[in-house]
Amino acid sequence: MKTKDVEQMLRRVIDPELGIDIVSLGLVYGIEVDNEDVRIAMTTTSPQCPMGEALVGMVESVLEYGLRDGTTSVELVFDPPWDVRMADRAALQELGLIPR
Amino acid sequence: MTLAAPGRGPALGLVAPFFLAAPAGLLAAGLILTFSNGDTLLAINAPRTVAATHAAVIGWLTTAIFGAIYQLGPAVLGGRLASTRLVRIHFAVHAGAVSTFVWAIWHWEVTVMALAGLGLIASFVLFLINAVPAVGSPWRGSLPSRYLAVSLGFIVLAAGFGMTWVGALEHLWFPVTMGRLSGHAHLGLVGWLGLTVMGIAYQLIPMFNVVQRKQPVAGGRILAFTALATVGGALVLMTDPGLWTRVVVAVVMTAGPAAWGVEMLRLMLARSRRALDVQGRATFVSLGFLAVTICLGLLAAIGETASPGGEPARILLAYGIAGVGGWAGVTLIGNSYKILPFLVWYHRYRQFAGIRPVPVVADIYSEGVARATLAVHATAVVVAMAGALLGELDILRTGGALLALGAVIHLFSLVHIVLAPHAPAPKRVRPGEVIAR
Repeated sequence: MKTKDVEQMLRRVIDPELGIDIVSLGLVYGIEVDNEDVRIAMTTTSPQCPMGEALVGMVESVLEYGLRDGTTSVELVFDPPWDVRMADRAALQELGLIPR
Repeated sequence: MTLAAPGRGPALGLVAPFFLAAPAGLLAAGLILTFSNGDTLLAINAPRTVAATHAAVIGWLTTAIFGAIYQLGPAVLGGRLASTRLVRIHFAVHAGAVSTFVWAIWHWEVTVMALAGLGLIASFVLFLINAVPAVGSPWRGSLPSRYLAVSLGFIVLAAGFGMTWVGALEHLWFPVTMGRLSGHAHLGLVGWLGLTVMGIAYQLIPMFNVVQRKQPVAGGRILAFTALATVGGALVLMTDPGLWTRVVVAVVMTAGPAAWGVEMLRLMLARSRRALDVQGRATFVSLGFLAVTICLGLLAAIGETASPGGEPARILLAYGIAGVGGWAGVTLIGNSYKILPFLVWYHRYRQFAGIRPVPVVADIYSEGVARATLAVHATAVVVAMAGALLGELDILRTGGALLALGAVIHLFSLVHIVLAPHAPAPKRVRPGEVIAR
């Protein structure tokens, strides 16, 4: 399992309100792969976002579905705080911040 | 960026009935205005006008707000519901009491009005038993929590004075003057509806529109000022004061909502989600109606000399239509297309998210239908206001008919959101993937 593979899996977790995946939004701060064990550090668009726990649950579901063995741990972090500039070009286009 | 953590919130079946029943109140208000007679333009306390007002305020807006608070309290504000069974009982009591109350006002059956009023008091008590632990304290917690907690106090005040006025009508304890009606109306409209709309906006506008570059700067002060101004202003209005006192009261009572409007405009202009959906559009339209409401309220306070045709009832009617249908109503319609689809997404599709393609919130409602609802409703409000200001009954009735039409479209679109199967937009589906419906 490579970091890129995990990132691809996480692209299937889509913020239901914005309709953009969490990787493109820049919500995934770190992916660590140690053999079959995966550690994710991620954030939400604001510390007050009450969907944090549910997003973590969605990430865990995706990883458990995609990984046959090993353990997963997902940590919610708020330092540094998420900024819209962390989103990729496609996400910024979807938000209407830059032209398509 | 998401709406709520409904894992802590109530089931869809508990909250959805409030949202689905609410447009019936708007439909009733629209139909009453459609069949209004000449009295509507001559006296603001004409039975049909009072019936339409209560159908809109407690039938439509309050019913939907009940559903929103039952959802947002536990899921977003960190509170809890005292009893889900009580929520179901509350819905039945409220629906029965509101429909009977509006019918009784329409036919001016004072005894039935009093009995249905007791049913409404029971409804509000049942609501408060659940809402107080769901919302939290007015002194602590987030800004939206504090606004909602204070607004709960205003529902008690507005209902208490309203029932007293009904008792006075039945037993002739004292005359129910225009000032006393006005005091009751402002406790309900500014205290209950206004503070609720303002508080929920502090939660939803930054969330839905991804506002990061600006923060609210005066929310607490606006809450304190608006609450004190509304209590004080309503009590002064109940004494039927003279012209200059009315004008001072109007200026003080409108200052809080005006400052809130500026704050919301500031947040909206700083949003990162530039592409506006129905909620964003509704926010801008409702802020426009708030500005109109404030202007009409100030003119209404001046009275006869500032009223078209020297008829204060006409400007008061336009003021009420702008505030209830325009500011609060447009806000509610916009938020309905976020709250209900999100609940459907969570309860029906979340379990499959990431494993199979599922619809997102935007796939669960039709943006086109939502915009059409908003456009019909906003047009209806403008037409009805114009009818009132011009003193043209036919234009007012046309506005009423459009309000009813908007209510029907809104109702069917909400029913479709809850009952219909949904599919993800094609761009979110990879070839060969099995779609969760």
